[in-house]
Amino acid sequence: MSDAHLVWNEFRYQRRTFMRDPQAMFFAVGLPLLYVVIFVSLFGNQRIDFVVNSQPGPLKAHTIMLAGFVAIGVISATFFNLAVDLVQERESGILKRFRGTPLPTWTFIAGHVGTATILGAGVASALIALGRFAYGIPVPIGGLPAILLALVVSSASFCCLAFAFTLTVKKAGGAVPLGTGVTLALYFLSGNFFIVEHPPLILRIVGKLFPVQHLNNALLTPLNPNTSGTRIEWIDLLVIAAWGAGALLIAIRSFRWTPSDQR
Amino acid sequence: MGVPAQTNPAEAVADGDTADARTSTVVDVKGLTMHYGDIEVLHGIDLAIARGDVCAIVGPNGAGKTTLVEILEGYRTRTGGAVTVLGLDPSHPTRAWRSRIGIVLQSCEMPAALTVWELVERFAGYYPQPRPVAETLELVGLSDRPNARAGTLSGGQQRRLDVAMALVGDPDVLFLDEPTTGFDPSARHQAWDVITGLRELGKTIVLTTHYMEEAEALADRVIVVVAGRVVADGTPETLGGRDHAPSTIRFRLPEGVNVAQLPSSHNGGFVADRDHVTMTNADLDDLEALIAWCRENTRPLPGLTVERPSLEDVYLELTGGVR
Repeated sequence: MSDAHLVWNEFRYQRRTFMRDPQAMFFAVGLPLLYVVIFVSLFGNQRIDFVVNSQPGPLKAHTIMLAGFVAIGVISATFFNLAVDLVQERESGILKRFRGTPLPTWTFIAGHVGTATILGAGVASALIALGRFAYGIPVPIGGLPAILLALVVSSASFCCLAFAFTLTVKKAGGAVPLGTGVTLALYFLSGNFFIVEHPPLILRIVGKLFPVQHLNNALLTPLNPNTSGTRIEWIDLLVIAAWGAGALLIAIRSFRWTPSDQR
Repeated sequence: MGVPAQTNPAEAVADGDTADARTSTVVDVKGLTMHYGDIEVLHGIDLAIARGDVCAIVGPNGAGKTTLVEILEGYRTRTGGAVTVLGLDPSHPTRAWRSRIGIVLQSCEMPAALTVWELVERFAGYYPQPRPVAETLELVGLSDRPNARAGTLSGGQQRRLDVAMALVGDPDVLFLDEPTTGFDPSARHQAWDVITGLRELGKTIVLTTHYMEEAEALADRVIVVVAGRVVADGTPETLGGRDHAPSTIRFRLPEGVNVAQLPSSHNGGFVADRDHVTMTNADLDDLEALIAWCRENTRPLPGLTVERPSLEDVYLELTGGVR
């Protein structure tokens, strides 16, 4: 079997594993859809009278919310789900088991990353379609290439972050609470749930430092009907890519295949 | 007929070249040491395992069995000494080498959502010449449950699935780390049947176990590791001088016979124990004297047994009574 075929094989089985896991399906697909339904239904029509992240106005809350929830969908699929899977597979000996076969490491990783990326893209598409057709949120056609680029860069970077994140968890049961805590804190600090006119300085610093707010912005610009041109936020994408590159270096140096109690 | 060219047997085996090389040593360990931090857990292990051998590595908890096996499997990098498995240093495993090794870890969960067939088929895809999935499931006794999800299998069935995943690549060497720990007696005997089947296929098998009954039933050879050292190495019949060890003669005392009438021995003679008499540390002379006495007095020896120490007795003696 060629390496390309092996990657396809891994992708196929990992996708099947995911589809049969209701908990993973809920966190990755159900929850972001639920966020859109709840938040957009309640607050979506509010007009935002202040400037958000230097975006040209006027903006309705639903556009900002859609960008934020697409970001959450991508992060859930590529970071949260992947990190939880990897930790649980490592601690239960499954990663070690695969390590003992002739399967090249990169094909195993590519299978995982491919599954997470396709899932992220699927969730993002579903959220945008839900926003557009169920709530009438405008989705400028000219912004689609910029959205696609943001999805590609963020999926790759958050997958790398997932591999690095596994180093911080030593028990299978620790991945979900720690991953939930980290992502929820970042969503709140990055404005995914609430739009605040004058956030405190600390929130602005944290928001700028971590990649979530940058992803929100890289998705908001192409969704904003008041923007024009390529709508690509290069600086935001660069920050996200830098986080991904840093995580990749850490993962290459320190990623563990064996359970914590066997080292 | 041409003369075969001279080759380094190790290289030949690694490349799977010659038939001659295939009869050579499969596992070769010389002066193996392993440290975890400042603690040395293996102190100069030497051993060699030939192709087709079923070798049991036994020893108490913490003796270093799993460390030793994981070094052979390529999971751990040794501190010192020389190790080759199929002619290659396992600390630098290659894809070709991995395709000739089958591993069953001491503990490993299965991806619960996939079925028995899917998991074995997935693993089959990793190997250049896999065994057919249906045949592999037949071999481990899971052919009646191909569509069962791994998470729904019993512990014994999961272990058999684990063995199937190790076997589907048709490996030359199979490492089984405590393959039946936690099994009930019925599941253990089923697992033994699987391993016996593998032996008949000519596979080289290295297994670790806590059960001497298992080592005796399966292994051609038993290696006892205690505190990181090999303290005995032999067949189950000869381990620790078991074949030369004094025997115990035991029988029911015939009616109307007194113990004092039995032939005496230089090691103390017979001792009455309820309705039996026993002589420990007996040798061949004692047995001959007893049989001669029987003939002379035309007496039977009901329930006569002559037993060497069991493998478990020898093991306990070698390990100082530690399991």
